[in-house]
Order: sequence, then structure tokens, then C-alpha cells
Amino acid sequence: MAQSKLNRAQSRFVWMSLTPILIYLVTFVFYPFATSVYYSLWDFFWDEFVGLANYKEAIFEDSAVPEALKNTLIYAAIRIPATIIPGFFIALALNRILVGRGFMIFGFFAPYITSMVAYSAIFLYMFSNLGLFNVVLQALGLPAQPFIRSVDEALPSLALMDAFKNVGFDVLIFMAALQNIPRSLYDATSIDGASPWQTTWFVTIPLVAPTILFLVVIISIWTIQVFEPIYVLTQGGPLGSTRTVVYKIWEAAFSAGRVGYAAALSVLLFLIVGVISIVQLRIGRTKWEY
Amino acid sequence: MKFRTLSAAAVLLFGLGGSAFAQAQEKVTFMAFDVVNFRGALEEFITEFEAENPDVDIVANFTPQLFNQFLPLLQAGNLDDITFISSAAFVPFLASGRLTPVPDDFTAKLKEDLYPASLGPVSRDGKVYAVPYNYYPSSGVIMYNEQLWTDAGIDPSQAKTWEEFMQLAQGVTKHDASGKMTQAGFSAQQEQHTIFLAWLLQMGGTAFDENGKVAFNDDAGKAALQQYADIFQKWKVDDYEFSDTITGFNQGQIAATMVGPWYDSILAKDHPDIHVGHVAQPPLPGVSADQPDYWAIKEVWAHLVSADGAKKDGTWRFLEFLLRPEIAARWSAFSGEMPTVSKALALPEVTDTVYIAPYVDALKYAVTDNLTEYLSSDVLKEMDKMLESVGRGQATVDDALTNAEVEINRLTARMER
Repeated sequence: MAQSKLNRAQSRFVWMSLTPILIYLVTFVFYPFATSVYYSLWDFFWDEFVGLANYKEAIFEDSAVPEALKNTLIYAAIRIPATIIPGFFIALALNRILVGRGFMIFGFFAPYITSMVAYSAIFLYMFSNLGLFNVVLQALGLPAQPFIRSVDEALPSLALMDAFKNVGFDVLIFMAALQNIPRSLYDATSIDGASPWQTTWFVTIPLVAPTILFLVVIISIWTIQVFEPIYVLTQGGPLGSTRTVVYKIWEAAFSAGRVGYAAALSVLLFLIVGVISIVQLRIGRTKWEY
Repeated sequence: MKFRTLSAAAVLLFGLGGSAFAQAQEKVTFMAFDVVNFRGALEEFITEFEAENPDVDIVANFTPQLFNQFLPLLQAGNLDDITFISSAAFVPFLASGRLTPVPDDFTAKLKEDLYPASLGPVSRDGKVYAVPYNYYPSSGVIMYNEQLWTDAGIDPSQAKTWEEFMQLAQGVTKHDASGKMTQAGFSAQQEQHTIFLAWLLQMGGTAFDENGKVAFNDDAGKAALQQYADIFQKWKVDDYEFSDTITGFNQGQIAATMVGPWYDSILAKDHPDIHVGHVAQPPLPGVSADQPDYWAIKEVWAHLVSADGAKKDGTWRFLEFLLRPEIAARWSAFSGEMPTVSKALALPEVTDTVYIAPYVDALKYAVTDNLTEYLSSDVLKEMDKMLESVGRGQATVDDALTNAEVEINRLTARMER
């Protein structure tokens, strides 16, 4: 009897604890997602149920969609290593510095907490003909570059700008991971005569592998949803070379007024992000367990 | 006691009277683009209108996100009573039949007072769906930076043909030692699709057939697109990788362009140091000098009235107020937009404004064609892609036209279901 009362009390507590989370999930996750799926089956221009026609158009007919997907993947391929690799080595260096470390961490972290819109607006000037980058290039005797006005340079320019902004986040995460590595392991490698490079390669990197995996997954999800720098700096141009999937969704919903089609693209993007995340997690689980 | 009773009665009467007045005062909501040249003029007009019409309260909502908000609001049925917006924004909805036509008596007034070509972009099947207020003349008149041409010792008005103008523009174009452009003689990027459409008309072509299918993949279209490509590829007076038109002109790096008087008005306010001259666009190759320089009215800015707004007397009184020639002329001078009201074109606010007057002559060549029913933003993007791909030398004229035809026909087919 006492056991049963206890279970009821526990059960009530569990439900009371879960209720706010469930309300949050239903309101902000399940309902919007279900609505998106429902909208994706409609053409609101004609107020007509169109079934899978929006999906068919996105996958087989609209040439801008595969192009946007390709751009998004290229963006991610540049952006992810461009923060993780410098982020790791900066964290490694900062981990050994005792004086002024807080100041330097702040220096790397400050761009991360700056609004992407404000940050992009500053880069709009820095990328221009008379901007900082071209002034420096020309001072070094190098030719001026078109950067975001070039079909070939626009996407890498944006990805590197984004990477530079967010490297502070990686630095912070790596520093936390590095501080969890037992000092004794470094002492042992030192006694064995390992060089700093060997210590980094054979001790540090394997031990921060779960952190690297976490960053790869989280940054993949962020970069696949990139929108603000595209909106502020290039509007998908030149010649669609920076049109990413989320920018394409925005164009469909707000520029062309095709909410149903935009919803279909959003559902497809959700599936893509899901598949990429699962693949990354599986790769990480099989290869990097230490 | 008596005083208290009288006071209470007075308060009651005042309260009742106030609320009765509030009820009598009709609220008309009005949404418009939040840019300095629009907002300043419209706020002034609203104040003047309310002084004349104390029974109408115009509640203005100026937003920089007008285009992004308009379509979702329209689909949700939450539009303001009046929305002042580009006709391009509601073209798809004209086709869908969701908009209510302007009442017949008001349409009759519009047909009497407005320049005829302005009604094309807001009409379908003989019905008018909005009240056009200004044109968007982005071609027909070349604006140039006087200082840059004087420095080069070249007078752009000497050109009698387009080819001669391009040769003169080459003299103003500069490059650095590595061959990179440092000053463009002429930039067409900002209004590229409008310029292409105007040139298509000047070449004797047309944009769409009666079914909304692309009709410019023909000799006229090829000739117009080739002229556009030549600016970059043959004459080399502009470069997509150099600078966009507005930034370049503002920074004194672009010597000439065709953008429109709205930009003139902004330059006059924000860059008074740049002295702008104007010359008419010389005739294109193969086009007789006697033939008018047709320019395409691809869009107008118009007052769109929602179903709720149409039922309010204050809505139509406010629009009538705005259409008075003296108000339309002031609007033109302040905003740098071409007025649609015919009588406004003769008033000093228009004829004496240096950046409006050159366009008045061109107005007689304004052509609506059958452009606007199909020029939605995604169609314009495809047209821009076509132009940019030939300008950058990444596609031939034939390939770019064929690709554009396929993509645009796919988009317009949705509207003709």
C-alpha cells in the first residue's frame, strides 16, 4: 500500500516535472513541424491541396534546389574545418599561457557574441573595392580581389568570414576539453621523450575526439542553416553562387510568396540535417571511441 | 451640491461626446515603405489630410520590411486598409483573383486623371486593382557624373548612337596595371532587367505571349541581350566583379548609369558633392533615330486597398487627396518618383526639379506591354540570372535565352493554371 502511494507520488512528480517540457516541445517543436508538413502539401496561391507536388518540384524540377544544396555543402565543408582546426590550436596555445589568457579568450570570443547582421554589415565594407582587405592586398603588391562579387570567391569569402566570427566558440569548448585531460598522461609522454607534435597527435587529439565530434555535429547543423550573412551580403548572388538551402526557403516564402513550397523545402532540409547528423554520430561512435 | 451635480453632468456629457466623436472618427490603416524620401512626404500629406478631414484618422505603419510582410499578410487576410507597394509585389495575386477591383466610379476617375501606361501594371481583364501613384522609369535617360567626364575631357551628349556612347564610355573607363577595372564608364547592373525589357521593346520585341509564355527568345531578344552582353564583353565599360552600380556611383567609381530619378533624389540629399548630368539614351544599333526610345513600365508603385479598407469612405477620400495634382507633384519632388497624375507633370515641382524633368519627355514613350502580369519576383530573378550569365561571359546569348525560357515558363505556368 505504502509502495503504491509512493509510486503515485513519484509518478505525479515526474509528470509535473515533464509538463513544462512537454508544453514547450508541443508548442515550439511538434506543432510547428506538423504544421510545416501540412502546409507543404498545399499551394496557397490557389488554396489547393496538391499532395506531394511541392516535393516533386523541389526534387525533380527546380534547378535552383540542387544548386542550393551543393552551395550549402561547400559552405559547410569550408566553414567546419576553418573553425575547428584553428580553434583547437588556439585553445592548445591558450592552455599553456598563464598571463593575459582571459583577455585573449575574450578577444577570440567577442566576435561570437556579436550580432551576425552587424558583423556582416562591417564585412560588406571590408570586402568592397576600397575595403580593408583590398587595401592590404594592394599594399602587399597583390591584385585586388572581387570577393563577394565573384562567382568563384563569394561562397568561400562568406564561409571564412563566418568561421572567423565563430572560432571563439570552438576555442572555449576545446579549452574545457583540454583541461579535463589528466596531467599524468603528459608527464608520461615527456618521460618517454615524445616531441610536442607527437604528444598532440597521439595523446591530445584522441582524448578530445569526442569534443571534435560534438563540434562537427553542432557546427554542421548551424552551417546547413546559414542565412544571415547571405541575406546581408549577397542575397544569394552572384549568379546564385551563394544561394543556400535556407536562403532558397526564405526566397520561396517571402519573395515569391510560396509558403507551401517553402514548407516542403523546410521538411526536406530537416531530413537532410537529420541524416547528416546520424551519419556523423555513427562515424564518431565506431572510429573514435577511446 | 448643485455644483457637484453640474460637474458630474459635464463630465458625463464630455465623456459621451468624446466617445461619440471617437466613434465618428473613422480609422484608416496605411502601410508603406520606411525609407526617408517616402516617409517624410507621406507623413506631411497625412497631417494635411487629417486637418482637412477631422473625421478620418490615418494610422500609418511604416516598415522597412514591406515586401517581406506583404505576401504573408495578404495570404492571412490581415492587410492594412491601404498598402502602398510596388505592383510587382502583388502581381501573382492579381492573377489569383483574390484582390477586389477598384470601384467603377473611382476607376473612371483614374482613367481620366492618370497617365495611361500607369494603369497597365495594376489591371487585368479590363479591371483596375490598385491606385497607381508613381512610375519606375529606370531606362531611357542616362545619368552621369559630370566631374568624371570633364576630367576625361569627354562630353557624353556628343554620342548620336549607342555604339558612339559606348566608345565615349571607354574613354572614361580606367584600369590598374594588372588590368583590373578601377573606374567603370557605364554601369547597367542595378536595373539590368528593366534595361533589357526596354531594349527588347526598342528592338521591336515583346516579353510574353498571351498565355504567359516567354516570347523574347527570338531575334529581338537575342539582339537586346547581345547589346547587354557587349557592355561587359565587347566594350568592357562595366565589370560585375568590380562594383555594384549604387556603391560605385556613390564612391565616384562609375561614370554613368541608367537607374532612375529615385536614385537622383537620394544622391541630391546624401551626396550633394556629386553633380549629375542627364542625356537621353541614344538609339541602339538597327533602331532608327526617329523611333522613340521606348521604355518598359515593368512596375508602378500603387495604393492597394484591402477588402475591409474598400468599405471605408475615408480610404477613398484619402486616395483622392493624394491624387490631387499639387500633392502628386510635391510627392514627385520629395521622393524622386515620376507621378502618374498627368496634370502634375506640368507643375513647377516637377518641371523645376532637375532630376525629374529629364524623364518627363521620355514619358510619352512609356509602354506597359504585357509585362507586368508575369513579372513576379522569381521571374525577375531568372531574367537577372540570364543577363548576369551573359554579362559575366559564363553563357552564350542563345543558351542564356533558352535556359531563361524553360525556367520562366515553368514559373508562369503556375499562375495560368
